[in-house]
Amino acid sequence: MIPASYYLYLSAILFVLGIIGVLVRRNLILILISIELMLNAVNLTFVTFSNYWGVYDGQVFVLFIMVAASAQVGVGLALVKTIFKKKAIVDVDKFNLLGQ
Amino acid sequence: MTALLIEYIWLVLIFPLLGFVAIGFLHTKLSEKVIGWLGTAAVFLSFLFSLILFIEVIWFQETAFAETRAIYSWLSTAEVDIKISFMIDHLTLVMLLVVTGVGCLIHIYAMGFMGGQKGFTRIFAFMNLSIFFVLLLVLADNFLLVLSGWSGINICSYLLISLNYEQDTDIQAGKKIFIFSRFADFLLVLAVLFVFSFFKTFDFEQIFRTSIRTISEPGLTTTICLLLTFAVACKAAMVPFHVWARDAVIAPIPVSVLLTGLFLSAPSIYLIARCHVLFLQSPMAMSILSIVGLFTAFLAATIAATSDDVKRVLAYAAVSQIGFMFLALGVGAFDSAIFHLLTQAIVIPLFFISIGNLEYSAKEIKTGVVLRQKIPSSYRIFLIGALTLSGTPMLSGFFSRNEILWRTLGSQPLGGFVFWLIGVLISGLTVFYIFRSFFHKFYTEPAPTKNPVAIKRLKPTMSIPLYIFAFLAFAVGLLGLPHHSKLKNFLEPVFTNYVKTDLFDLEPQMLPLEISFTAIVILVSLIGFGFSYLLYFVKPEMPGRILLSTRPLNNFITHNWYMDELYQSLLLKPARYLANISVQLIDVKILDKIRLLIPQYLETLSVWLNKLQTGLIRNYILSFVLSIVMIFAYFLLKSN
Repeated sequence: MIPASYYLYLSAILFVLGIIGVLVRRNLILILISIELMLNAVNLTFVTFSNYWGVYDGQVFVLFIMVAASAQVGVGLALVKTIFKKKAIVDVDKFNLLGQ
Repeated sequence: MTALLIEYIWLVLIFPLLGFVAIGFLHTKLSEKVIGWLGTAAVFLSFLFSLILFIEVIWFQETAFAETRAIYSWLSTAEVDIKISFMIDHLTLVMLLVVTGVGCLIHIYAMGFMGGQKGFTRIFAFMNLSIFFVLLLVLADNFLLVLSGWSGINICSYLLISLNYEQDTDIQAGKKIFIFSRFADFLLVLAVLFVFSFFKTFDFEQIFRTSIRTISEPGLTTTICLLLTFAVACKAAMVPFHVWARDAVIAPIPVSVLLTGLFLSAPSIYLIARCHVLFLQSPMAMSILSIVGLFTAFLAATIAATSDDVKRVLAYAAVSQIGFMFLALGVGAFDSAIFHLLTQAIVIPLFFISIGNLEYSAKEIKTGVVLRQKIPSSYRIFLIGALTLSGTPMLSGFFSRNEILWRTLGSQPLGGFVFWLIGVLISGLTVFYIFRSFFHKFYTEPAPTKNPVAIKRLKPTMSIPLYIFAFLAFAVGLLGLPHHSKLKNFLEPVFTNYVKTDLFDLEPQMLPLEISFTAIVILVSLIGFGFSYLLYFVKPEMPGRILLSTRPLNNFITHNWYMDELYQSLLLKPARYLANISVQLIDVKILDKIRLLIPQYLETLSVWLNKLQTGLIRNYILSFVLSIVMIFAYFLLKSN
């Protein structure tokens, strides 16, 4: 049996990778994918703990998060599409209206 | 059986309040006529309700009637339970009838007098509200409700006085009244706090029961009573607070009537009559009460005797009569005070309305024979008022004042006689000043005018209340015939409920003495009348000559005994000086600098902070992530 800590390390690594992706990538779509990665890292943690303690709350949470994530992806992609239609860019660095 | 209507006693209060709300919210949609009738109907319904309740109590009630009805628990803690609850006994019933009855007549009059004038809507809204607050005070069964009603009356007086808010004099008068009534508030709050700290409750019933059962410290009772005395003295324009009575008549006539006829006397006299149990335990407070009353009666009479403005004479006449009521309260004749309140609540409006009608129909003529010939109704009614005020036998003023004087005489062996003597002198002075202004108003030769005088016809809403008041001036006296006083019998249970007083047996064998003393009063009154007849009717040039020889005295009196100047130099000047100093020192030198420095610093800060706003999402996310890492790090380090 693989110890729970392994899963946690994996999920931490995935989460950090997601953060790094969000921070260094410029492409909007890739940022969205990185956010998905972070969410799934969290999912993994939930499942791990659910298995470890033998309660199923964590599994239920994961289902909820998946639904929320898919909805969020829908909204996010719609935003990306709108931005692309208006400005023909997908680069976030070119998109700094707040700082101007 | 108990009276049925008692369960719905809150209706009395609701009508005027609804009237106020309706007029306040709908005034743009309603015509003037509707507003007038709405306001009047609100008070009239209250009056009708009180009247039916009164009749029910008289007919179906064998024993004394005293009930409390709680309708809402206002504030409930472990230590104190304050309810909005109403106490209805015989005293309350009388006060309800007086307030709503006189209030209703004044509303009818205001419809005619204020018709077409600016402030018509506001006067009706405020009058309804003020009637509501007086009723609240009268019905209250605990000190906190009394306090709410009391403060409400203050704000209403202020609003009513400064009705013409575009005129500077009216605004100043309103402010003056407001400050004086706030001071009265302050004293009453102190009294209530003292009461609470000792009795641990606000309820009248419990306070009175406790105060009799326990032998309380006399000092405490005296303190409470003195605070109450000065609070009501300030409210009723007694010495040394009489200076604001003059300003009460600046506003339009209906306001003057309401203020001088009802709001000066009713709340104050009622409150002391309600707290008579406390007062009876403190002889010192009682004697101070009577001295304040007597002195005010004298002082106001002197001012009235030297004033040339009829309205001002009437205002001080009202104050002088309230002084008599205080005297009655001070000698323990509580029912006489209420009786006098009742008669004065009729006489004073009678005067003011007849003067108001003169003002309305012939604005240009101030005095003169023309008024008597052209507007005979006002002339006759003023005469009836003057006769009532001066105590002509068989009119109501005669019975009420003589009863006060007679009871004063019987209160103490020596002091009573001195008080009586002064009281009789004041009665003479009263007759003198009221007929002085009567002759002055109606019998002087007017200055010749070129154009013929235009006389406006009175509206029925203006003359009908006048006739009702005139009828009442006759009829109310019958309620208080000496030795067969219906009012006294009606009020007796209230004043003997807690304390058995022997104030209620007037010995029948003293009858010849009483008659002879009354005869002296009448004689002095006749002398007073003789003086004013001689000075102002037979030889109108005499007063001028007398005035020349007694100029300092006259100046002293016409300046309100220099009381205004005293307030000026004692309170206003130091306050202004202090204000000036604080403007120059604190405002300019300290506060202004701080005021200017704060924006400067804020600007530098905001320029600096502005640099953080790059607009790049990754920067925001970075700071977000870093903060989370820092928070985690903190908790991790802390747990180890």
